[in-house]
Amino acid sequence: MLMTKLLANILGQIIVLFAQLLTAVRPLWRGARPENKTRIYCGNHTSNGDFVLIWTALPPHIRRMTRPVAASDYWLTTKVRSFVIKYVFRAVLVDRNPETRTDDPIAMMAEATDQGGSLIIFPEGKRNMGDDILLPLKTGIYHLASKRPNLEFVPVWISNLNRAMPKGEIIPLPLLCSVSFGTPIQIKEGEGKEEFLERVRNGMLAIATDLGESND
Amino acid sequence: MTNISGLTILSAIAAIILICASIITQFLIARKGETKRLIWVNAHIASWWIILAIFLIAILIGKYGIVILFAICSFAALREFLTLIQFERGDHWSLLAIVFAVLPAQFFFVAANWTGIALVFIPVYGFLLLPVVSAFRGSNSAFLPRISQYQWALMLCVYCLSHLPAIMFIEIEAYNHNLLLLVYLIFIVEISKAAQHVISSLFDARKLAPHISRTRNIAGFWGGIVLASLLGAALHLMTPFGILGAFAICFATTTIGLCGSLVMTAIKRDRGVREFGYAVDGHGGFLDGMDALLYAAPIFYHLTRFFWG
Repeated sequence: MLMTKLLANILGQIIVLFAQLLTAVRPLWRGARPENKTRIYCGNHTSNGDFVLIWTALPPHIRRMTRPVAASDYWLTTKVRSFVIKYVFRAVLVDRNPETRTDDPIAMMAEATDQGGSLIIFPEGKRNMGDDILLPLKTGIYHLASKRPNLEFVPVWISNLNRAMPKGEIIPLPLLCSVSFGTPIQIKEGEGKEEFLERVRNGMLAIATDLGESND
Repeated sequence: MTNISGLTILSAIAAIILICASIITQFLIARKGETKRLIWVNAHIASWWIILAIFLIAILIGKYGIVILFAICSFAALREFLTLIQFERGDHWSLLAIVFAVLPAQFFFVAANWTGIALVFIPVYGFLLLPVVSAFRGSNSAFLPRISQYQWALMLCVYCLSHLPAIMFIEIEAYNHNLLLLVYLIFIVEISKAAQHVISSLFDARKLAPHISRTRNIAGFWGGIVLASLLGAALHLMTPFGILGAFAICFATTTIGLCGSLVMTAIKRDRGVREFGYAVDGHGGFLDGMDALLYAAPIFYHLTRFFWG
């Protein structure tokens, strides 16, 4: 167990170093300070490396308590992948297929936050490959918010990683990337699904507009 | 031995300048509080401390250490430049080739002292072959702008930059302190930039290029060149040039260097950024620090080789 932990730590450091070398990733804390709170980081999803970049951009003490939410049907397929996702990133693994899954993903995420872990989520549900900069958000984060109304949802915007690592390419190009953190959002009492999702989505879009990235 | 002692003296001078600058800014911060300008100055001084430290380490490793150091700089500069250019998915492999094949090859040629191939590899073969990759894989939309922009990135961040470590390999009669010569070039060019900045802010004069830069003026431009060239002449004992030769070569080098800095600023304005990157403490990237040097390096290299090589 000690060896596993050691190996995972070293591998984690290597991954962070590699991500920093390629992207010189710069965290921009626009609406939030990096705090030791249990938070849900809601990022835009354009590339396979997204959660690695958010994870890298967080300061080490916050990175240690932050876990990505990842799809078990992809990550548990090979030994290396499952080691990396389980021990290096300590991901909350959810099954995307409602027919085969045994655990409720929302319950698993809620439980992870109860244990003090922050989460990285991509609420668009899938990688955005179209021309719109942000797809409509899935309802998962709303259900999580109603289950744990004290949680802070931080809108996150990743810039440029989709250019460094376009879909289908394996070798990333070195390009400067930034990860911006917006103003945290908490669910209000009696707030509806549409309303809450709209607020989170607008929080993400507001950063993009600020950065000069927009649909046209 | 003279090589070492010359460098020791120069590093000592640089360290003394930096110590004075650090003390003065700390003093000003203590008196006036942390104004925006002082924070900016302080960050720049901090970055020069880091540069000095890295340089001293590279000196200890020797001339191949210098080549590796500049190859890393080239990678970092390229990373900044590629961030600003327009490209599409079809160019991915051209760009990968630039970063992971052409760049290492160019610095290998420099280290191997294969001067001929180092001089033509990028401007001829890189120029001709890279667009072929884009043509096979990419679309025809904005083809010329796309290929031109990465050619620019390559020429500037790899080809021009590789002339700096190449100075280590010039054979000069009765002179073997090439590292000192490299330090001399960097020193003179950076001094000309700093002098231009200071003189421009002290004296009112016609703007150098009003559409590109609101701060730089004619007085700063010529003042920076002349001041740096005089300093270069005064330090001629570091070089194989002689006092007049040193003045002339510094004049040519800093002139082209400051012009280059202006061109780089124009590129930044066109792309809508204030700075290329944020390598040191969030205050400018590699390209911001090296802009004038990238233009100056080939000129200095050629003049030295032609007249003294």
